[in-house]
Amino acid sequence: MKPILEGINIKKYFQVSGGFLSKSSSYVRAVDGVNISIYPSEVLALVGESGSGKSTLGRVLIGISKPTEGKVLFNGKDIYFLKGDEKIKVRHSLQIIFQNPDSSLNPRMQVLDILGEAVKEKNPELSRIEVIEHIIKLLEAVGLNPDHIYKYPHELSGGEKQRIAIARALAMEPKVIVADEPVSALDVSIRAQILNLLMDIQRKLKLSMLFIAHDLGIVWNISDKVAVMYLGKIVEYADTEELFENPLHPYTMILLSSAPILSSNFKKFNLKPRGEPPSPINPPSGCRFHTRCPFAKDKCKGVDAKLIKVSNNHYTACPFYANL
Amino acid sequence: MDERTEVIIEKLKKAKREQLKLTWLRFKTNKAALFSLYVLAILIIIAILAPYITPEDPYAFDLRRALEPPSLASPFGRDEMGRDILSRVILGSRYSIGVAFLSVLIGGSVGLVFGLISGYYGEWVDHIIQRITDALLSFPMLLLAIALVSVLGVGLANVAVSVGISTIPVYIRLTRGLVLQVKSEDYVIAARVIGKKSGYIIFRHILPNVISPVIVQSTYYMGLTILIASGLGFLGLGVQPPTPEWGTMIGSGRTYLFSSPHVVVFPGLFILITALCFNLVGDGFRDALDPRVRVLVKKVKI
Amino acid sequence: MKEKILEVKNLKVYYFLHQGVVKAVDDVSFSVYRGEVLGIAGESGCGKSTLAHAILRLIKPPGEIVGGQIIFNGYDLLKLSEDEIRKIRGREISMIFQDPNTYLNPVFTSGFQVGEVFEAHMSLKPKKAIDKVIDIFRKVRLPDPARRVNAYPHELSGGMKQRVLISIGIAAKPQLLILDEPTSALDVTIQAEIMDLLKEIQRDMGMSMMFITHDLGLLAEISDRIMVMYAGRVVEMGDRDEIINDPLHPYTKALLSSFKYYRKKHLPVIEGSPPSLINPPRGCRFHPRCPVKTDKCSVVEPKLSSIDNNRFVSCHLYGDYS
Repeated sequence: MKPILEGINIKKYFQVSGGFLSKSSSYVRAVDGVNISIYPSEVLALVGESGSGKSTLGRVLIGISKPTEGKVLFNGKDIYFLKGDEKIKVRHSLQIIFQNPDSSLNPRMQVLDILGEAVKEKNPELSRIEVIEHIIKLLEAVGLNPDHIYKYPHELSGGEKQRIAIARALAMEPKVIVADEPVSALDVSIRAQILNLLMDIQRKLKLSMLFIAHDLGIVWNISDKVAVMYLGKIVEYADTEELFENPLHPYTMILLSSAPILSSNFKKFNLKPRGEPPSPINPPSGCRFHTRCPFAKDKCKGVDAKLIKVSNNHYTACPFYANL
Repeated sequence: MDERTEVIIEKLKKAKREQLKLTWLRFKTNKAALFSLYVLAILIIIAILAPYITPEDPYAFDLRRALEPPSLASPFGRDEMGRDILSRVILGSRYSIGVAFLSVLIGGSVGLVFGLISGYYGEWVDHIIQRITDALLSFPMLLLAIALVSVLGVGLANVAVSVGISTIPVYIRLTRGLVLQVKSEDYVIAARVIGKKSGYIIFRHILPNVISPVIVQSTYYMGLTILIASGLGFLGLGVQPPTPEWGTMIGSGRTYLFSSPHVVVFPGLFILITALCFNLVGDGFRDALDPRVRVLVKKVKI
Repeated sequence: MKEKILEVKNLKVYYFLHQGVVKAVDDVSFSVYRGEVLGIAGESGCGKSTLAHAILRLIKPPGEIVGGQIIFNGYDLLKLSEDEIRKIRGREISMIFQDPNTYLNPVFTSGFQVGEVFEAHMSLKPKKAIDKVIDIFRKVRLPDPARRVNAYPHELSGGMKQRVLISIGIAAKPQLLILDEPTSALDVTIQAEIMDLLKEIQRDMGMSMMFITHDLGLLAEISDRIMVMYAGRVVEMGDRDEIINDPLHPYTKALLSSFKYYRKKHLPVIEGSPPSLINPPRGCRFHPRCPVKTDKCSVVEPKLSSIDNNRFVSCHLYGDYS
């Protein structure tokens, strides 16, 4: 099966110092050489902590942040080099749901307009009444009653705002949705509702999802495959069950150990990282995790941390995975 | 049309009206701003009706009655040419307030447009506009206005244009800063992800979220432009005597500051009041339009 | 045998807004024993943060403590003067907050901010206090403590900043440390490290702790006893193991279930949304969302009653109200 969305050797650097005309500058290497594939109807979880580059990668893949190097292919076509109708079609097919429900809706627009502009973009030929009826259907699809149509964002709760954001993405009839930590900013008791909604929508519409998260419970619940990121690179990639039962990278093991105790089925190891997280401007040489890795050897400073295929559904960037 | 949809359209209109009402209510809680708004309203009405409500002809002079102090017949006294100051102040409101509105209109609209372009498109467009703005900002506004007036010539219209142009750089800076903030908000990115084009995004998403601070800034500027126009008038570079612009009145009357202060005090007072009211109303708008300002709190007895 | 260092009786904290009176904490009673960690669980809006601020008398208008007692070492904190409570704040009872970015002053070095505690409570000038500060930094496992004394908050990572906050909290060796979501803003691996640190400090210093969070997983790790709050009230209280393994109140059960792992199926949902605290539901505040409610629940308010020795529940399913 071919991937529906593919990132090939993606690098995204942000300049931090040095201005318009200066000679030297330093860069934050947010994403530093990533190969990633998302398959049709699959949910791929992208896991990492702050500084891992997962959000940046999500934005590169969804077409709103042109990579410094590398390309993004949607059904084989480079999404940053399209023109005309094809460009529009691909633009509609790739949608995003943001983390913060408060900032993802224009505070001066009613729900009518927030969803209306999406509906009209996808179906420019609809009349005003048809647009409204379409919006009502979208609201029902995300579990909201039609009354919400005339509300402003500040009159909605966090969960309701997030549902609107989901409805907006659905209005474009997308093939791939990047969900960037869609429930992290919500109350604990609301998270389950939104996650269940996303799960249902994904199943029903057979969407592909790139689910960016830091909460392993959510990853276990919703994803088919997991990619673990650390400091701009993918360090492990596997089927979800395989990754949780049999992690083959020290960082993944530490992540699993760090989850609070109620998830003890996965705390077979009790690993802690050493030291402090390094800077993304000056990442460590070789394997980037070696400065914090409890298993680190001298060799790790010089090793080339490319993903190694361990089996059909399991890749790791730690060359010493067998000895962990 | 489906009945349900009709109901919804009605409710939509109602909701929009509710929003406006709420903003007005929030404005009203600022007593100083509310009072200033009423005062301004009165001043604007005076300005509009000016020619019909002056007790005397503002241009009629009578040298025998020069510098008469305030009395029942002439509540503000008479100036150095014997003209009734009250009538001149009333007519002057037209010029001063008129110049204020005109210059803010000019400066605001041009500044807004360039600020939007500069902020949204960035890169070399931004660089060029910003460097020009930097250069203009290095001049104090009054100096800039003086320079422009010396090029365009004196007179009411030129004053409005000069003062207006001198405010453009600050509007550009203000707008650009706001655009940069709004540009990176998720809902703007969301509009791009949906597929909307730049023009649409600027008008539909960026402009409405940027306009409130610009309006607030404009009310402050109305006060400022009155001062600058008066300054020009005072220097003899603005509206020329005998036209009764408040600043010009002070300018021609300045020799009498200590001997017959009423000649200078009344126009000066009106400049002060008008500028102050604009500022207070500006504060009121700022608080009323900012959705994050907290709701007023009242102690309730259980 | 166990000594109570804090006893809260019928505490009520209300916020007077023009939309109405928000009953943020509405008749809450509990105790904290010497040397124990009491975990306080609940979601946002349940009143746990307000409770913490009330104990330190940090409630400002429009909020007001309208009733109850807070007895600390024999004194009712609510009856003390502002001067007296200031001596207690930061010294006998201290607090660690959630977001180090808002609670650390960006223009002072970390050493100075910790030093201020010594200055305020032990009359030591910040310069003299440097050795003590370095000691504390070592205790909270801040790497390279001597150098960090001169570091400004923006030069420190999230985990380090939280350690500085913890230093400020424990500098005066308080008897009671209140922690309000101390790890919510941190990455999960840093969170684990900070939790280990807190456990270690608590053991070494024999402090009592009130650990406030929505994350029951964390409470399961660190608490001796757990108290669950909902809509301004206590709904359940008991030993950690009992609450985690055998929850009684339907809300506790629902909250616990959201911290378990489920593979590819619907997560359990608590229907509805958190109630308004201005007009809370009649009867039991949880009844509109309760999967096992009875008719009585919408009419009669349950009281927190003792099930056995250390266990309290506020639910009509347990206990008898005639």
